[in-house]
Amino acid sequence: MESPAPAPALSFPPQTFQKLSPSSYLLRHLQATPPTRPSGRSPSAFREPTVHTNSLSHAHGSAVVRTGDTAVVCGVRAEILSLKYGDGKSQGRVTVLRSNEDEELMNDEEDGGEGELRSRNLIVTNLELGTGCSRDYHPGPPSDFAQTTTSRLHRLILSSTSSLISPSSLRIIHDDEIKAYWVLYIDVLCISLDGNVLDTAWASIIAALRSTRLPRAFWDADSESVLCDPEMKLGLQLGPLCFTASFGVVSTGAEEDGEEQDGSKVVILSDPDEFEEGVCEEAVMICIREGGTIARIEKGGGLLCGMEGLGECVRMARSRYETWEKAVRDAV
Amino acid sequence: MTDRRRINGPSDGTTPIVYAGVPKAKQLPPRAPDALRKIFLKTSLTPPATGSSFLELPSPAPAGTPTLKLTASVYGPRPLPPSAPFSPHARLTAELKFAPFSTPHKRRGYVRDAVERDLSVQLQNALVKSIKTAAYPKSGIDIFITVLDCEGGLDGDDDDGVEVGLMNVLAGAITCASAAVADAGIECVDLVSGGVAALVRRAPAGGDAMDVDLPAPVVVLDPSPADGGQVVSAAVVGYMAGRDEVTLLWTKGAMETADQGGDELDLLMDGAITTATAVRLVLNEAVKERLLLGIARSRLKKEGGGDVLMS
Amino acid sequence: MVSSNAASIGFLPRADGSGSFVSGRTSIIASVTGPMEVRIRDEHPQKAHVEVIVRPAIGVTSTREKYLEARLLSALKPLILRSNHPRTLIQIVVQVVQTAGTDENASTTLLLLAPAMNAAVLALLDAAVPLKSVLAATTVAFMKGSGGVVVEPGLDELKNSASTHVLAFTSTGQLGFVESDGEFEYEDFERVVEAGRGVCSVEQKGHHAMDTEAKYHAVGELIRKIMSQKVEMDMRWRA
Repeated sequence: MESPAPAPALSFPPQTFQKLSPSSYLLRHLQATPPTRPSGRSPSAFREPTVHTNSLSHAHGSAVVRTGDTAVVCGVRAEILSLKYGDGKSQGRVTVLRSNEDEELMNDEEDGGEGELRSRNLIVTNLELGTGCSRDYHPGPPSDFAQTTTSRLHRLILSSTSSLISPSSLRIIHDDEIKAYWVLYIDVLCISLDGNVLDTAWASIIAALRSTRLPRAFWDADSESVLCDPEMKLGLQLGPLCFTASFGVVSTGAEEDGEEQDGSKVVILSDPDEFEEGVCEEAVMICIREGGTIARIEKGGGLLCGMEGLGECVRMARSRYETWEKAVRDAV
Repeated sequence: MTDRRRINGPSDGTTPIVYAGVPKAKQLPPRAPDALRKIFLKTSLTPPATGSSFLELPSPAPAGTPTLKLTASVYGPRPLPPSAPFSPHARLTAELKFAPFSTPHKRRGYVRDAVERDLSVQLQNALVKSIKTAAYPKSGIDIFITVLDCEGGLDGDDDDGVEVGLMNVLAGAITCASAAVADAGIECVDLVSGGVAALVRRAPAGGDAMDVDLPAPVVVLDPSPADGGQVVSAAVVGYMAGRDEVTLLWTKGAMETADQGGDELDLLMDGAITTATAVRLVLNEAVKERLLLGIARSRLKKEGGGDVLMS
Repeated sequence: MVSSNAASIGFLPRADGSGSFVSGRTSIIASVTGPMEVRIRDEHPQKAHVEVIVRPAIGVTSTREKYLEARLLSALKPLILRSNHPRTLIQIVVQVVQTAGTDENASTTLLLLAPAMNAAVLALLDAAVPLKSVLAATTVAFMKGSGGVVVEPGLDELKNSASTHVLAFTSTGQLGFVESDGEFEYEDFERVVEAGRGVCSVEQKGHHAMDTEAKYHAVGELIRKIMSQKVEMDMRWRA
């Protein structure tokens, strides 16, 4: 007697599974031994970067950086901010002080320091995602995500203690008086977006700034304006470099919004791609400065990653710093 | 005006660099009028997009000279939003944008200006005839072009001749976009390539340009704004070489038509078509390369690469 | 200097929940509306959509406010039991009332984060949005040279600090949010986190510790005190 054929189990290709239940799709991959991400990387593997500089003809400095399927182009263009008469020192300015704290800040600006860069908007950083780099971002006004990332990049450049760009290299001085400033427009265009645009964009900014050559500028008393010498080009004075490393954090036990199950473990995914960023709610970013000190830690989105996890992230970020530093050094 | 969605520069504005004296513009090595420059064209450089391509002209570029670099990405065919009216054909949109750092002299703004809108419409017109839009009802196909770097020559035309910079950008955009459409696997009747030709009056060696005996202008294929010489008139075509059809024609400058007993317009168009035909060979190679890669990949998959097993 | 903290709750009658938090010269009001109808675009079939809107003290919103919104959302979203209210919107509006310094100053923005987070948590509690845990946030500075740790620093102290840390902990002492800026070693960071945890967590032995003035800046205790007062008021009819 023939036994009835077993009813076909409900099955579908991996791509459909990924679309239907992204969270379970990722977790099934991570529960395998050894844990492997859908992209084939191990959880702690970063994508290898490639860096090229000075490939644009009209930018003063530029870099193209690619990590996996995320690719960005960064161009630095300098323009001149001429100061009005007497604006070079604090003459001609009316300052209203609320307390001695503000007074100190004002003094600080005159000494130089980040106050000058910030109050005069000498560094203008923008990230453009509306280039057709992904199906989620359209041309037009920047999305919330683009604005947030722009702001994060801008804060990294002007970080209170990093002094990546010293204001003195942007001053145009004549007879001990500041006549004008260089203003650096740093534009990052995302050409292809597959997650973790922050790390790639930041590395492209560093590489582009390192490749930037500005013409020597001088004050021309006859025309009362700033002129540039087409023959002589000078690099920027850059402070200690720093590079970022981003992580996604996910628990192998947590399905959707449910409670954590026993035996679940927390997995830290280095350099998450677009799909992983969508699933991991918790994110960690570590910025490591030359010499191995930490310049910035950002963590948010959950409670999975405690001090132990952060320590692990810092360790991985340090080795990532070496990778970036070598890639950028080789390119410039 | 400040843009509150972006980080803004100084509120008083900044001025582009003014050089003391004229910076030495690097002259391109002289070319024969019918010599074309080499093009680099590669597809699939933006994997999240349905189709994409990157174009560089000339490649390799002589050191220190400007190049044209642009990327194209195509999304679709994808369903139109429910609010859109019924359309029996696919709706094609093209958006061209210059990067802020792509042009000489002044930085470009972030918002699309009239020039960019005009080029977008021309690009759309050049491509729409090549795509089988009837095969994709109720769908949208979106093409995004980003100009990363251009050769210059974007200023307005004056008595000294016309500028070919924008024409080069449009021709490059047409070729690049057509490659991206093919990469996306969208059904086409033919590929479109762009070509530029110009009537250029070269100053006689050692003579004054304002001489009474002006040399007769010659047709130059694939002119570059950095070539030198006075461009009397120029034309760009979008050309489907397989069907021998012109999808777009844009001319600038004064030229004699057949009615006036001259053949300058025909000369220009033939020149531009010759350029486009040569560019088409590059386009064919890029698409073929992509096709062979796709076949190799699918064969690999059949042999059992595949995904990890789901337990 | 330890700046005094003050908080209040439930002062906006038209919002579902409201909370305010004052730390030093930074003052924030937050309101919560929801669960309410959600835009179709944001609708999630299994969860509530959470939205944070930050309004500056002066001027219009810029990328800075978008940045604050993203950071606050990342801290607050995991607290909310979103699956309890599928296909709804929970909207948190944070209004900056006063800032410690000028907007150009980077430290001003850092000093905003912790009070804004506390005000939002109070507003969520007031609106009775189901939460997994309560977050309390504080700012800690690591001083240059001396290596001292200052909790809830003022602008002048930030000027002399080597690094500044905005930290948030759940009532059980789990680290929920970090934003650190400056130059520091991981060992310094560990010390800073311990100091922050002391301020933010709620001691299990009880609320009697609140009586002493010295404990008044402890954010965790302050939130607990405010809530116990509210519950007392709500339950007064039973007495």
